Amino acid sequence: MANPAIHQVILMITCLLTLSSYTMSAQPARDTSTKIQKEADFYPIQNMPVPEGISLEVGGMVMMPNDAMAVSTRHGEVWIIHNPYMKNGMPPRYHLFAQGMHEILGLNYIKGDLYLTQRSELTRLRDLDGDGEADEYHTVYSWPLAGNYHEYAYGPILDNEGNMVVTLNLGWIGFGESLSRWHGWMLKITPDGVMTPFASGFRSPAGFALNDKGDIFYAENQGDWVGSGNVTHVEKGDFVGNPASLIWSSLPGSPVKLKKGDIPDTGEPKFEVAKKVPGLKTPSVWFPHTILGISTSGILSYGKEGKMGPFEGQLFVGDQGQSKIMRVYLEKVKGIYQGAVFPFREGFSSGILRMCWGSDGSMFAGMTNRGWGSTGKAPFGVQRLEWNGLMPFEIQTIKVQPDGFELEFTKPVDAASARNAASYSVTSFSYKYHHTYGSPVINNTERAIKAISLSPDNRKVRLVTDSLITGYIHEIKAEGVRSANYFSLLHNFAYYTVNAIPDGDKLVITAENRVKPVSRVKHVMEMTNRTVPEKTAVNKKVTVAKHLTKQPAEWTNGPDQSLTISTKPGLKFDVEKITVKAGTKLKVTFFNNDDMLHNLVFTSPSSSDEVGVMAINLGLNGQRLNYIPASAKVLHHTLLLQPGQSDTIFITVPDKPGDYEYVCTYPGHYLIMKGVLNVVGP
Amino acid sequence: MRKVKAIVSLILLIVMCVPLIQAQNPKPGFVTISLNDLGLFRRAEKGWKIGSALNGDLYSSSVINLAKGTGILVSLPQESENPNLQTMVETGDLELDLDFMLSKGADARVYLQGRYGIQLSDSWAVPASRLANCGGITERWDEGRPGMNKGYEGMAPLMNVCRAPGLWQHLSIVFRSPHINASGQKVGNASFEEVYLNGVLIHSRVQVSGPARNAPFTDEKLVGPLVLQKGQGVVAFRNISYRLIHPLEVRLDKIKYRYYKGALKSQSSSTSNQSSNQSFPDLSKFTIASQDTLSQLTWNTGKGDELFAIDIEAEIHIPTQDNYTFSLLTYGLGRVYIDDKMLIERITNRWNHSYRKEQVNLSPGAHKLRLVYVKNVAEVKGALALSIQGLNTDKKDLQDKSSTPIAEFTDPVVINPQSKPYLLRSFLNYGSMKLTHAISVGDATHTNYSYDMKQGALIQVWRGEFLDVTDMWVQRGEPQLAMPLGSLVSLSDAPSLAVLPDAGAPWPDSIAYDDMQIKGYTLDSLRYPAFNYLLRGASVTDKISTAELGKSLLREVKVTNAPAKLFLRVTAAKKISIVSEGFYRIDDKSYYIRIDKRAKPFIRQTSKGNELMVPVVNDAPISYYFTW
Repeated sequence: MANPAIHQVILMITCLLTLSSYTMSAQPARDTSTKIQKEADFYPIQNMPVPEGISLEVGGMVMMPNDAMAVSTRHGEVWIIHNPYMKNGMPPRYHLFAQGMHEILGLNYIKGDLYLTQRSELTRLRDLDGDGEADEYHTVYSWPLAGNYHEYAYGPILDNEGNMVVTLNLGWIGFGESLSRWHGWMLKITPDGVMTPFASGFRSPAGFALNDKGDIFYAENQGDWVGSGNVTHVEKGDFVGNPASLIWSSLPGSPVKLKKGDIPDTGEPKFEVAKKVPGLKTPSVWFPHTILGISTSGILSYGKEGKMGPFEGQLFVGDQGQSKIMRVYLEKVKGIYQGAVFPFREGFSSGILRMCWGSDGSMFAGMTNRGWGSTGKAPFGVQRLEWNGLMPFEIQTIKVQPDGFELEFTKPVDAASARNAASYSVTSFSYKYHHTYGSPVINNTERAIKAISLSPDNRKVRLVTDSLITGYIHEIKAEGVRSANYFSLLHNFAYYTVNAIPDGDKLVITAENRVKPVSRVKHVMEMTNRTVPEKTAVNKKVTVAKHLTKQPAEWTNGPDQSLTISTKPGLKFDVEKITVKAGTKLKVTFFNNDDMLHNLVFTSPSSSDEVGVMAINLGLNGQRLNYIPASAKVLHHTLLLQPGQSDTIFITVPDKPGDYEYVCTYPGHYLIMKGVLNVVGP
Repeated sequence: MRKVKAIVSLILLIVMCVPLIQAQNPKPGFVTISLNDLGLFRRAEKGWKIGSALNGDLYSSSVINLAKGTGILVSLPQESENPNLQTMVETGDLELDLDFMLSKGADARVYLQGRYGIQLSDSWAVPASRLANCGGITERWDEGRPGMNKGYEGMAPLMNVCRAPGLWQHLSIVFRSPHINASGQKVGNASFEEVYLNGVLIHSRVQVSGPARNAPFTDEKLVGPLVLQKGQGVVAFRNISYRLIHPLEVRLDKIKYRYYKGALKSQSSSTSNQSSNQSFPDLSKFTIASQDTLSQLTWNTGKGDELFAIDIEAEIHIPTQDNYTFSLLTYGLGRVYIDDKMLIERITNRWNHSYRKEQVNLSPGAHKLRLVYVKNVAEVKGALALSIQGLNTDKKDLQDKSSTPIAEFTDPVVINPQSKPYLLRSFLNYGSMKLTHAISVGDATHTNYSYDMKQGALIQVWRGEFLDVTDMWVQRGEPQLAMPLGSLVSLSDAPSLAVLPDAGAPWPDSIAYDDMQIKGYTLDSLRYPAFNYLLRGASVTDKISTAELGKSLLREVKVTNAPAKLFLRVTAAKKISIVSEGFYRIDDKSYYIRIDKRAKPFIRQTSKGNELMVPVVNDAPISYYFTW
């Protein structure tokens, strides 16, 4: 298929025909048009106003007595905010409680006191004279620092024994490094200030919380040794993956015995490496990078305090870069946590770092995007998420079975769509475990669905697949499933990480539940699965022409002009406008001097946003394809570059004058990281 | 912002590099006005005297106690009719450096060319911005103007950074005389290009349209004498030196270049920030891609700013025999040869905004200038800047605009405490070190200090604005550094408390991290902190607050469970002078310590100078004033 766009249209038509013919035969009298739900129909977001002059860059957030909320900021302040619910039509009132601490990224209210972490210490604040301002800034525990900006500290949360748990970020020197003691570790500290190292291997552990069983989970960001974001169950003595922290494992009190040299850098999946390296803990749930977040942040357990619909017992996980909240269902199989991550609510105004429950069961999201950027463009803020009591049609849980998965829905499903194998797809994949920043999706293969059975109440669907692969992430899509009254799912996909496969009875395959291999089914699968071979081939072909790294032979006099573009912090190119004559032979070097992945893509005029969206839609294949969509609007591009890498390409500037654009299409970046290639007449 | 930053760094640079108050050898090009006697002054008035040291208490009185000798010029208030002391030498454009000292309530003026005045006045700890503050530009006066407007063109200093009476202060001025053409017509105003007081920029490019009030001359000329004018109280001067600035008539011609292309040596793929051993490539091993002549000195021959090398040769025409300073900035490697001899080699990893300077003596006439620039870093734009300055000339850029790096600016973020003190934890530069557990405290009186919580050390104090936090609060704030904005007095970063086994034991440089437990701080009702820490079992409270309306800091140290032989080192300096009982003057850093004699302070001699010590008694508070 030469033209991928046409290819897609044909597939879509095939798909629609498939669905309509199916449902018509099943229930001819009904209104069979699919009804769409939107997140805002169930979960409205309300903005909390911030007075002029206050930089409410939320680093920590906690509820206080009398319905007040305390917020700690990156400027080192602690604000007490009264009436954050804006009850009685009254705006919230802000009161400065404490000031001048060093980037407070965690705040808690424990037994009547505010506790927080700043860069160098765990601090307790007290107002001794009752004037409403803290006058005792008590250092509970202090740790050394090297003076690197990336040495952040987070917490405290309270564990079941009453200890405070904090985590220390790795420094960044072109790669993550533990520049001073206990950086890259989770520590437990008693109220008296006695510290016990608890677990190692952390990279950027900004969010952690207890689940409803009292177990600690932490959220990690993609980076070196971290192929993709994830949520990991942390137990004493665990090593969760980044070896930099292991230089401290020989210190007294360390429950971790691994040494840096024990960790192989082979690029095998982490789960495989963990089999050979006892003590290496693998994630409970992987979050596929750019699809479900790019920078996981706060974790909020949905217990009794919450009122967010039918997801009790699950975890909500924020994302800073994508300004959204995801949902995690966890189950324990053979004593190991695993489960599925789902989209939940996007569209927040800035980068979410913290969430907490309001007294009415609503959820506050505290935000800041300074230095990293986010889909929501506001620099900071607090927003409140409510559930309006209406029941969304969602996949409530996914439980692993000896032979596949059981999907539980929040509402009864339309039996015909639920029994149709074309409604689903299952793909398994993994990530590399290596020192490199991030990882492409590897070893992705489609799992054939062999049988489908529906529970008598039409609420549960069991999918029997040809096999499950332990350690792998399983993308489960249910695009075709409809509710009884023919709504499509609010979110129709999830990613289940299989760490263990339960024993037990497999589904007896009968004539009724067996899926017959039908060729049109396969077509539908191809539409939803982005690994169609022809498409990839097309992509590669296009890529070669658009990514010329050798000077073309016909450029006998060399390039007419050369230039170097690099980055500035905060998702910017250092050059935001280039003016060249039409037809110029241009040599462009893109040097990625940032601490995250970037590419440089030249597009047609006014097309960078569209190309950015197309890049996001590459889904699991995005990274492998350097986030370069196969589109005529992509004119030239570099590869996706690791921090510190550069790529030089040779471009012939278009003959037609105009404002062409260049953009980083790494998901989340395209809205701000772009510039104009102003082509003028010769 | 970069500008602000540049200014701040300049301030720091000056504060750190120039021991402000020390007698010093003149800098290159500077001429010292000898204070061996009054021979270099035109009217040796009775009202001035030469001596070697001022031993009196000018902090609280105007009583002069001048030691015999030379080097210090002092005004004698009682015996004066003509208040002016005028140098024999007459100057035009110049850079002027001097130290001065005022008695309590004193005022005086320095008139450049006997016409354009800078106020020297005891405005110690005055929080308001006033014309009369020390360093203010003297107003002009016109009786013909109506009402209150007779005085005009006076200019208050940007900050009041005046020191306490009786302490040496430093003034540094770059001055341009009025422009007067060949037919004697004035075509441009005189201007104070830069004025620094105690290391802080207090004026920048301020023009003055004519002679100031009470100036001894009322006309305007190309040259004039330096006039010191006394007023109330005592004023003393020392280390008066100046550098004449003449225009430098230098030009380049016969500029030609050879251009080498490609990856001569690239660092760009390295993910590590560690500098690797770079060496200068031997260009003779590379092929010349192109060569041509140039009309201006530039790296930018229109072939882009990829990896390349350019070898430029030119003739430089030197007007007079002199020691010339060449300053080179390159993003990449650079070399300067004069008459085939290498003068400067600049090898830096990645890029670095500091110039490399070298001096060479050149005779008049044509010299061969060769410049090699190797742009071995892909991640930055090309930049090549070369300037030349004679001992008594302007600095002249030799490169074309197309070759110069373009500075970038960020909006600055500055904290200035309003009513209550502001305490800020941050990283903090101290010399070449980056302190990680530092806190700075400032208040509305512009009295500020920093404290290293890891050592219990008062590391610096300053007057003026509080902190620039741009490097913390803009973008990721990668340096996480707070930058003090005023006139900084750098103190010791060593711990304040130590057990000394015997009286001669050296004071320790630092406390190991695990030997000290930081316990935070408690604020009093005015929000001044008492820092708390445990030092090997001893519990320490160290309270530091502003006292005497911002004139002093009051430090109160109390130790519970104090071990035997524990001492508080109040300060260490080259020399600690006793003004009166319990009242000490530290001359090299210019501050006072006042401590109750009941604390039994004593001075001990060390190899580095003096240390002011107090024995620590369990549970007995020690307090002292730090005054400057």
